[in-house]
Amino acid sequence: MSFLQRLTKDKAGTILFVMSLSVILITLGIIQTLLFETIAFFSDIAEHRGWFSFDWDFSGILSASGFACLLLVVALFLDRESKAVKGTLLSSIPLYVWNPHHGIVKFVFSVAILQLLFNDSFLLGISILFCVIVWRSIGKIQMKRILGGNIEISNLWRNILSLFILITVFDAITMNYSGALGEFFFQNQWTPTGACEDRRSLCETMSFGVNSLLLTTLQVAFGALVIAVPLGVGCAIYLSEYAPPRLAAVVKPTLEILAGIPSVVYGFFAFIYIGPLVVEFGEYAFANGWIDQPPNVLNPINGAIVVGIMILPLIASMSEDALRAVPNELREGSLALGATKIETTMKVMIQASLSGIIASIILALSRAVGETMAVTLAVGTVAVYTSNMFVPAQTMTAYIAQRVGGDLPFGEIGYLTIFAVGLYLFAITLCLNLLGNKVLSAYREAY
Amino acid sequence: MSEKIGGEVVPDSTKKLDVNGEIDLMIEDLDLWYGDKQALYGVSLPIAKNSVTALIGPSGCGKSTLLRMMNRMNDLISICHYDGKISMGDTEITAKDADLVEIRKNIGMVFQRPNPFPKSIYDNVGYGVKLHTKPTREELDAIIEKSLKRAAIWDEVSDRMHDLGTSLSGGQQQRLCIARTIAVEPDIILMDEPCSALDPIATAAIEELILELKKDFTVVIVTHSMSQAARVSDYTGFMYLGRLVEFGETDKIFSDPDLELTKRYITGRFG
Repeated sequence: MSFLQRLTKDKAGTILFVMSLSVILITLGIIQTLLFETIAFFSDIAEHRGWFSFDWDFSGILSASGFACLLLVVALFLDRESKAVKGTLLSSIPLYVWNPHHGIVKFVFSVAILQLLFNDSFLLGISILFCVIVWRSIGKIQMKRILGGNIEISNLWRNILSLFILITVFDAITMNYSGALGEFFFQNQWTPTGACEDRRSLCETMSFGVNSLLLTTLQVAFGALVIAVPLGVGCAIYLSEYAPPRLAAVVKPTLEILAGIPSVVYGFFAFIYIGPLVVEFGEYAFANGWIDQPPNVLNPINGAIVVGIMILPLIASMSEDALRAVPNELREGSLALGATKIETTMKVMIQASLSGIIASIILALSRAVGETMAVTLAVGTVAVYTSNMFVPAQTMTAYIAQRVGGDLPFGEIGYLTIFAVGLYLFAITLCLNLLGNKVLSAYREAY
Repeated sequence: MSEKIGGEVVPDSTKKLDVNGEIDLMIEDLDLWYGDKQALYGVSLPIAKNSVTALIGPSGCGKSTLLRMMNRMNDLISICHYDGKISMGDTEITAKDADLVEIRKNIGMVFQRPNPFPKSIYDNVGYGVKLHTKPTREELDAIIEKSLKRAAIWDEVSDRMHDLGTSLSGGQQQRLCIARTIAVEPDIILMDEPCSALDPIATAAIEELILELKKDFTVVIVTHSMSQAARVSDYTGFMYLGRLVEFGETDKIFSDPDLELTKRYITGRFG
C-alpha cells in the first residue's frame, strides 16, 4: 500500500497527523523567523561596527573578576586535591574546617546572593556560590575518607570550574567590548533608536547593550522569588501537612482564583496600590542616602512584588504536588520515632520532596522572566542600567511590548532589536524550563 | 457472653490472659471505630516484658489496627475513634492529654514496607536520636554504631555510612529501619508484618534478629505467616473479625488450641 493510499484509508489518523505536524511547523517557523531576523540585526550592525572586538587590559586582574578567578582557581585546586588518591595535603587540615557550622555556610551563601543582587560584579557572586558548594563537597569527601566509604570521582565540578575560570579570566583581562556581539552582550547602554535624523540606518548615538534590560529582568524575577518562595512553599506545606480538609477546600480554590486574575489587572494594581507604598520606603532610603536618585512610582521592586504574587500559585500547587508524592510511610516512620509534626515536615518531608520544590521554583522563575503585561505597567519604560531598584527601568519583555506597540516603521534597525531581544529571552526561558523539567523527572524517578 | 463467628460459637473475648513474668503493656476492653464501622470489639491483651508476642489472623481482622493503637499511630486517621484503655506502667497511652512524643519514643514501630528516609545511613539512624537528645559527635557516632550492630547490619554498611539509606537492598533497608528504631532506646518495638516485602533469606535474617532483640526489648509482631509466628514468638494472639479470639503461649496455641476456629486457621483450612 502506498503512503497516499494509507492516508486516505485512515482519515482520523491523517487529520491527527496533520495537526501534530502543524504544531511542529509552527514552532520551527517561529524559531526560524527569530533566528533569521536576529542574524539580520547583528549583520546590520556588523557592517558598520564589526562583529566583535575588545582591548586587552591586564590591570583588570586586580578587579572583582580577578578576585573571582582567584577564588575559582583555589576551589579547583582543592577539589582536585581532595579527589587525589593520597589526600596528604588536605588530611593535615582538621575536619572541622571542612564541616563548618551551618550558620557560617548560610552567612557566606547570603553574602553571595546579596552580592549578585546589588553589585555589578555578577561573576564574583557566582564564584562565591561555587566556592561554598565545593567547600561542602570536599567536607563530604574528607568525612568519607576518615570513616571509610566509596569516594565517587566526578569530573562535573572540575569542568564547570574550569569553564568559569576561563570566563573570569577573559572578563578580567579584557575591556571595551565593541562590534555587534560585543555591544549587545557586554555593553550596558540601551538606546536602540538614538536621536538621529535618519532612523532607518545605524547612527553613532545608537547603542545596543542589552544588559540594562537583562539586569532589570533578573531583578524583577529574583525579587519575585524572594516573595513567592516563602509564601508559596509555606502555603504548600500547610495544605499538604496541616490543613484540615475543610480549610484546604477554601485555600486551594483561592490559589486558583489568584492564578486566574489577568496579568494586566495585576499590572495596574501594582501601579496604583503597590507603587506608592514602595515609594514611601524609597523616600526613606533616599533621605538616608542609601540610594542616589529619588524613588518613582514605577520601579522594579513594584514589579517584583506583583510578579511574586502572580507566580505564587504556581509554586504553591507544584510544591504541594511534590509533598503529596512523598510516600505516607516516610511521614509515619518519622512520627513513630517520636518526631513532632513540624520536625517531620522540616527534616523529612521537605528533604524528600526537595527536587520537586526546586523544580517548581525554577519553572516559576522562567514564568517570572517571561511575564510581560504586569511588568510593563509596573516597572516602567526607561532602559537604565542601575542597581537602584527604586527608579523606573525596563525589562526585556516590556521593551518588546513597547517597541511593537510603538510607532516605529517596520524594517528599521530599532525594530529589528525586538527579534534579538526575543531570541535572548527565549533562550533564557527555554534553558530554565529544560532545567526545571530535568529536576522534576529526577524526583519522579525517586518514588 | 458468647457470639457466633464464622459459623461457630466462640467466647466474646478470651478469658485466658495470663502471661508469665512482668506485664509491659496492658490493653483493656478496647473498642475502635473507623467512622461508623467498628474495627475492634472489646479487645483485652497483656504484653509480657522481654518476650515476643505475635498477632495472627486473616486479612482485615484488625491486628494491624490493634498494633497501631499501641503507639497511637491511628491518631493520624481523622475518622478513627476509640474507647478503652491501654496502659504502660503508670502511663495511660489512650489518655486524651497523653504525650505522644514520649509514647512513641518508648514504643517504636517498624513498618510493613521498609521506609528509610532519603538521608544517609548515618543520618537515618541519627535522626531519631537527635530528636530527643543533643548528643555530641562522639556520642552520636557511638550510639549509631551500637544500634547498627544490634540490628545486625553494621558489617554490611560500616564502610558506606554516608551512602543513601534508600540505596540498600530491601532486607538491609528493613534492618536499617530496625536500627533506627533501636537507636531511640524504646521499651517496646512494634512490627507490622516486617517481612512481607522481603525474600526468604532476608526474612530469616530478620527473624533471627527478632529473637536477639527480645533480650533487651519487648516485641509485638503482626504476621501473616503461621510458621513465622511459631518460630519467633512466645505468645500468640489469634484475631478474627475485630475480636481477639484466643490468646496464649505459642506452643499451646499451635499444638492444642482451645477453639476449633483457631485450629482451622492455623492448619490453613481458612483465612
